[in-house]
Amino acid sequence: MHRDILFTFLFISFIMSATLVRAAEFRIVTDGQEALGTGTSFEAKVVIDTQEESINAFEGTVLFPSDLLTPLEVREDSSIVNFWIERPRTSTSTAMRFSGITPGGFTGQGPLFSVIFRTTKLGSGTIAVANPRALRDNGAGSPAHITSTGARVIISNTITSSGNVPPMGDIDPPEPFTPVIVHNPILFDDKYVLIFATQDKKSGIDHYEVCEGNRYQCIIAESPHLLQYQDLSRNIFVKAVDKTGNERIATLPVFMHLLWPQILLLFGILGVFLWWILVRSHKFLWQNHISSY
Amino acid sequence: MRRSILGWGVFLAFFSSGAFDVPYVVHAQDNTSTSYQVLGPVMSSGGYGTSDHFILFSSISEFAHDIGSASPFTLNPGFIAYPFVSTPAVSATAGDSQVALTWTASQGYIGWTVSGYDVGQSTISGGPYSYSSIGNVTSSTRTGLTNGTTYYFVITPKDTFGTRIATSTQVSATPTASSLSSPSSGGGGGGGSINPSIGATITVSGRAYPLSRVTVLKDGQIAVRTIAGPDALFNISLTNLSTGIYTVAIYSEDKRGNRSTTFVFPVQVTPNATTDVSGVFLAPTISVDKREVKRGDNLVIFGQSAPQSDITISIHSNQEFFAKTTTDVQGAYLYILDTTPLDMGDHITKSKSTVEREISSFGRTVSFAVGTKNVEVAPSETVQKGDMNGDDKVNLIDFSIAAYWYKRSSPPLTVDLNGDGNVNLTDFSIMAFYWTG
Repeated sequence: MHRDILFTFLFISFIMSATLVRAAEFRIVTDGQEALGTGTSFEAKVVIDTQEESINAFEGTVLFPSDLLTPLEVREDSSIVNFWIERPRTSTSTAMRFSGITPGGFTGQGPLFSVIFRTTKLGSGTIAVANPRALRDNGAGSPAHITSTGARVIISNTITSSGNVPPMGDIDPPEPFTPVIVHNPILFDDKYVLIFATQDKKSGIDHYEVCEGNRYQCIIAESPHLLQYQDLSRNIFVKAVDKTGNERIATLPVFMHLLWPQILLLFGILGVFLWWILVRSHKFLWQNHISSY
Repeated sequence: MRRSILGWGVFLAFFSSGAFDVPYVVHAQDNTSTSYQVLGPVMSSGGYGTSDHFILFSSISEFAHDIGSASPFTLNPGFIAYPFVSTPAVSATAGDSQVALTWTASQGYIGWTVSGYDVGQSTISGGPYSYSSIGNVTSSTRTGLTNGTTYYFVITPKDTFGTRIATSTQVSATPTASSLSSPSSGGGGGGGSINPSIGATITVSGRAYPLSRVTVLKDGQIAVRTIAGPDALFNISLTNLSTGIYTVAIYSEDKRGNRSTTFVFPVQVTPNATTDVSGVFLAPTISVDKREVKRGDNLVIFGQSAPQSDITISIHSNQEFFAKTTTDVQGAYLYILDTTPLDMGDHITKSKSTVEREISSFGRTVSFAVGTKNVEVAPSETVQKGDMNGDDKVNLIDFSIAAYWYKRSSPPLTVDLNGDGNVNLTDFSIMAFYWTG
């Protein structure tokens, strides 16, 4: 009898708590690959379920058992994030921080990115998003109530797992894009700055390179990038490179970013040249006219 | 009847720890048409009252035009205070013997929660449709279809009882046999060929405001602009796309320059295919004529939506109540609110639109205060946040400026949008809300 009452009480408590707490959720999805052998790779997707709320900013840190798993790569194909503030990288061996925005907000279930891990030794652990934050698309940046559900991974020698994640097979370059040059007192002390961003629909952007002068003298850069030659006297190339090495190059020819004095000087030279051509041709025609008589 | 209400009151009091508020007097609307007039309507909820604590299965009727409320429960009587869900926008991508459907999640209001969807399918435009229940998801691939035959689909959100509570606009697609050889997914394949992405197309159709400028963003950057027709309908195409998922966002501006909310949805495109997205319905714009209104004076609430549409205005104070009006042929609406029944203090209002069975979500909220004097809304109050370089846009340049100041000390006030002394995710969220591309 007492057990029945206790069970009923617990059941009602569970139902009430489930209905009371309606929160967006960061979730790690491993496609059911919870048990793996050593030396195999698998994909862990970081997914958000906004629970009918419109969310426009996402932040968190993917934690994983670094003694058991080695992160191989991050994939951003099908990500709902349009602009990364902190792009998730595999450079750190224990945690992967990320933050980004989706202008206009996102409602529903959508992938943020995925991480390809390789199992290194036997054991078990959990992959989860720590310090999750999701902000409402309401103009105030109000935090949404957010929960995080991790995925448990068991690495066992009884598993004869042959599952390896196939390579991306990306032969498409990143999306076309147009860099812009701006200067503003609140950005690098009003110096000329290059701004750029694009996406790659399969493997994701790995890095950008900026080349001033010719496309073979490049440096790895991030937007906003302070231009080396502030007189803007050189062609500028911005190279977007995806994670499989495909490149998209956007070019800003020198005439597209000349300063006003330079433009006036150019027009002046052009005007003189045209005037000289006109005079010459007029003289030539006049001489022909005279000689015909 | 009164005993029944008393019973519910006791039930609610039990769960709300006795936190009842004073009943709030709001009169229901009279409704008229050219052939009839309904005065003092009484609403029967049909049994869909819900709160976080209970579901009301019985039918209730109002015995007075009051709103009974407790902290976990609000009862909205009146002819127009009925629950509703926004109709989803649906995309259809044809494949080989199949069509992939995705749709935006329907948003439920006043107690209605969408708990699943049915997909209606037909080979005849307009139906009749055969329905399949596919759970509470926002995508479905219809397989086993005949190549060369045009199929028509609708999506119907359902409530917790499995009742279909809205119907999307119809979308169509014609499956075609694939002319591409699929890349081998087998293990070996050292020289296996991978087909390059072929130019794909997304077409989007929907409703904005009559003759308004409609801006379409692709992954946050402006892709195309168009002008909606006098009927507020628009149709655009994005071409030469790679294979993958694109975030398509659409917004418009009314004739006074007020922006709509941004309608965002992810679209999966496949090689050599056109993805049709239909049923986009931008929520109405809304403005008020006073920032503060003297209690008892009128507040004018106005905005724009599709022509000849029904506008429901929500005025949210301690309790939420509703007003109804219609738009004229230019899509403009205006409602004069008598502020006598409103409490002193801050209030917000928002609106949604209904036309030809399509229901928008609620649009932006605007706030006003009921006080002791009238203060007009100044034009400068409509300046948007996030425009850090002063070019009247909120786009990648502003994002880059904010990224420069991210976690740096002493950011300028134009960058620190919430004024907390540093640039963090909150500032980026505010910027994303005002994003223009």
